Amino acid sequence: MYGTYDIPCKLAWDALTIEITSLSDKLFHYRREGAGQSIEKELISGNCKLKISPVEPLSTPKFITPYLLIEFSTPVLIAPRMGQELFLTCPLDLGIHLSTGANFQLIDIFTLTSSKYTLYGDPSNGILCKYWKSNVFNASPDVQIYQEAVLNLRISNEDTEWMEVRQVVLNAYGMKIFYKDDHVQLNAVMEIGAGGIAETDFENDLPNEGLKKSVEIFYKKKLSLASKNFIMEQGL
Amino acid sequence: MNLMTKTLYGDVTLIDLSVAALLILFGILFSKILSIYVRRFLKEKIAKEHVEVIVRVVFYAILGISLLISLPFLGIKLSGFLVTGGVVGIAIGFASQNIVSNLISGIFLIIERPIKIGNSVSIDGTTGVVEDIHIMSTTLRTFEGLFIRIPNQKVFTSNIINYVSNPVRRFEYVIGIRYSDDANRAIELIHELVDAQAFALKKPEPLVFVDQLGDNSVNLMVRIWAPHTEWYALKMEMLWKIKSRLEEEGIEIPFPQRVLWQGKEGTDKSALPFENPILP
Repeated sequence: MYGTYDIPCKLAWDALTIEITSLSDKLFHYRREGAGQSIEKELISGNCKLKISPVEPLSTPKFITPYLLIEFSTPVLIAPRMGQELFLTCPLDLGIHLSTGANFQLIDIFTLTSSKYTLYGDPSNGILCKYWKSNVFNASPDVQIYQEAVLNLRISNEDTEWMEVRQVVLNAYGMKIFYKDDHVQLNAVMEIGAGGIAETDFENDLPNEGLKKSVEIFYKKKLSLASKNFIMEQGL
Repeated sequence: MNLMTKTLYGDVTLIDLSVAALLILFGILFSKILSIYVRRFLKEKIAKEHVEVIVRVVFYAILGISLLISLPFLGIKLSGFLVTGGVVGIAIGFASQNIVSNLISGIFLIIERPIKIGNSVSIDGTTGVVEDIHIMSTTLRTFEGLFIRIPNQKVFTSNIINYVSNPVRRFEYVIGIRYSDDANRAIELIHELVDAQAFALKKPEPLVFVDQLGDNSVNLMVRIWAPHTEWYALKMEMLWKIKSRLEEEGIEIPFPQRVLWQGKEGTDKSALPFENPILP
């Protein structure tokens, strides 16, 4: 389903249907059924294409926070001065764009996963986060690519004490999602420093051949307002 | 006689004149520098037009003080102003007591910042959204759409509840079920509903527990945390969902009821739930 399509077109996957019909030369009708919603829009546009890509999992059901907290199903204990590459899963939103050359206009966004929010920290100073629970894998797991991505997390403990990590909080501004037909991937780092304070960030580099970078909807909108990394100072 | 010590008029010498000029110059310089710092300090905190008013007040206040200090060097005795100034000062003081009080309260509100524009607040029992914070007053738009102006003195000295100061907020329901219903099953159903709600936060954890064995019902307490932006919508949505789901499972919310037993001679006492001393 990910990819670029000429319009008019009709795409179906499980209980999801996405359809653009032509009403005249420049007037189109967009309809999406599924993901708990039925959306219809009229589009006035010239020559353009439909692009479906995974996007940052922050807009559904409503954008209220740029942070994503992934809780580990089992805690990870890390010895001092040790590092390891771990694989987690991460929720995805699906973005429907109209593309004219290099320009993309988001016309619809939805998710096929259930959403949940949580608070990182205490009610006075905590940070609201989108919540996701993931198993911890030592190799890239098989995931439902329209629901989840694989998060490749390089975790390292720079402290002189053992650390127990139960969660990772990521700032989704600047989140880079790479995908191909059967795989969606994100790369992030988590460096644990003194006192159990960790810094997390996404990596920008294209991981390997065959993957392409997804359209970043938050990068385009609000990059100047936010830094990309996140400091976890209210517990690991 | 040295030119500098030569008397120009009265007792005022050229040195006195120079000192007075220096004091005034220093005052101008100091007030300009202070104005820059005040403007920089308040730039992000309050509206631009209010910043300019405060900056101007600071500028002229410093300038006025430096002028007063320099007056004796110009041969003008301040003692002469004391009586007149004192009487005028008292009169102005009484007249402008509220104005000054509101002004100072406004400045403290700007510095302390217990409320911000756009916050949902309750000030001295008045609830609404903060529309603007002026130097003399704060304006609210109540949830009924009314405009209310509250003097800053009242804002500053009243209890303020800021509903959106923290990122999350808790709400609670008391759900009564019949004594014959399975409370554990009811708790399980409510937990399922809460877990399915995106904005019912995972942490702080929602709580559902038997709170009270009431006169007519077993009362379950439901406590849910939600983002402050979604709190009210979720509160409105959840209660009916809980009621409907419990009813689907045959768990009912009972009406208040009282069982009356009428005693009569010859009544079968075993039908009573307790031993009635009135009956023979």
